[in-house]
Amino acid sequence: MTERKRIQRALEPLHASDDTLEEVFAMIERDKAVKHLKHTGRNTLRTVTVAAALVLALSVTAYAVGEYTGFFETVFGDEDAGKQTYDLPLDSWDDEGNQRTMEIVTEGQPVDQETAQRVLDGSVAGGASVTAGGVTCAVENIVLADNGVGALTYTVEAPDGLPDMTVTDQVWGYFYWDDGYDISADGDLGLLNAPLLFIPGDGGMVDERTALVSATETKIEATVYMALFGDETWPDALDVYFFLDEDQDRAEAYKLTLALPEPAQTTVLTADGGWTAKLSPMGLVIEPPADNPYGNDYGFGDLVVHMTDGSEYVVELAEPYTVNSRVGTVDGGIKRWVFNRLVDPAAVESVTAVGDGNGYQDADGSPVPYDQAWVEVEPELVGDTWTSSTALREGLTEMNVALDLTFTK
Amino acid sequence: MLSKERFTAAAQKYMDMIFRLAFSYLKSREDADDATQNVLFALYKTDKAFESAEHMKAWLIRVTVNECKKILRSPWRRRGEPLEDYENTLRFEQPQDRELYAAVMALDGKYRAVIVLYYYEGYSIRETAQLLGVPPATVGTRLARARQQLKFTLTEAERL
Repeated sequence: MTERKRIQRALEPLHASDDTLEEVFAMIERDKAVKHLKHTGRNTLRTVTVAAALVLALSVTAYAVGEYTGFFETVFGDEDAGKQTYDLPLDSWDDEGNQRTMEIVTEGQPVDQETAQRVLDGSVAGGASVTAGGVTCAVENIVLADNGVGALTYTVEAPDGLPDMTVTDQVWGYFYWDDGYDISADGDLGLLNAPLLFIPGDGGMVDERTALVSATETKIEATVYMALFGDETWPDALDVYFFLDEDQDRAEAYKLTLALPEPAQTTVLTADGGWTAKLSPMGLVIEPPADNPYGNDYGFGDLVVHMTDGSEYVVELAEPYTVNSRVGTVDGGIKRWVFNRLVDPAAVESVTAVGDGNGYQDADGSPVPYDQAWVEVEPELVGDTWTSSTALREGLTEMNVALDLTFTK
Repeated sequence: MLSKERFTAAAQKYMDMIFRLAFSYLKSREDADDATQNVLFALYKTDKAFESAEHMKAWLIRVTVNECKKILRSPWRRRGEPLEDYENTLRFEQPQDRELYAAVMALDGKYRAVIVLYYYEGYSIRETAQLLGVPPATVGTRLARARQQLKFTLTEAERL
């Protein structure tokens, strides 16, 4: 039996619930009722349970741009910044049904306000707010660099008490268990109380992580660290959706559209072999050469920013379980890190990256670009459908290459 | 917008596919049911003119992936029955099918979705990449790692 048929048989018992269609038709009827209310204007939408996609277009207020001292302290760290410990829930339960957790230590660094004002001047924008149903969702400030790395601060406030929403004090970025298993990607760990960020239109995407600043029964303050990617055109705006729940069944979405600031400039560093590192005050983006044989399958155990004064910032794991970058993402072989501190690119001497890459090689040992290692094979009959497939090119063998890169200006 | 008859036929044809993919992402029957309902609701409401059944299927998969990501990031994920309870309700032809199912579900989420689209739905690496919105190289890597992990898990299970 083929590998494909075995997996098909193993997954075959998964079926949608019997009442799926019935529920969908009920949703359709509710949707018709909402449309009717909109048309007649006899009532407010709040009297009807509606799907999460309902966006309330309400009063949106633009904030004035002001001093950013507090903003920089929130984003990068104030004088009290240091190590904090969190229990990160894992997607795993023990035999007694208790969710397993892992202790994570996050590390912050106090921001140098003078440097922040100098390197990010002009790249911070004021936010906006939306108020509905006694709840105000506000983005206070946003900062971005043109390597796509940035952050924003937001609050959700309700004088009469916030809707019953789950609040977490977790913070996480891109890190590994000691057995090499990464647990950051693809939202496998749901990010609680965080807004969703979208680039309007069909453009790029945003990867984000939230760090809670404070939470009371009437107000939540938090920071979103983000990396924009996937589109070469710099976006003009960012859509921010806040989801608030009133009946613990369906959340309502409150949407803000933020005009983006002029991005902070990136300093491009290069290393032998066609590797590129785009450095901004907020983070680093490493791009492999176009003909790289590794795809995404490369990594660095040691990524160090060397400063001109001789000091260092070790971006990845400084010690086991310590997270000293805010966000790490991988997309098409491009890796991004959002720093946990402000880095003045002018004060950077070099960046070193030591790790390894896994790819394929020809019989003569020549590396094969990853996208040329896989070829289409004869269509295969699966069930009653002919399907195309891809296989590793014949004659190729796996290779593991040590990477020892030094990026300089 | 589809006629009610055409929508019903499409919903019946694709709802298990949507559920299977959603379950692979969410590992929760309740969440996967929610996702399935929302995706079918989107199908009912869309004005998109589908060129073929394959076009509709690909659209449904994209919507399902987006819906699952939204649910994963939502503060209001439903915590229903333990996964094991649901698994015990599933009927497998052979005991080894159950072992393989458990091994697939033990994979990281990004690998599970690739497994479902590549192996179950029969899409190529390039098509899977398009559906998931990631580069083909990423799909290739995830498939290779998933295979490696499955092999390891099943080998370990045999040794016990």
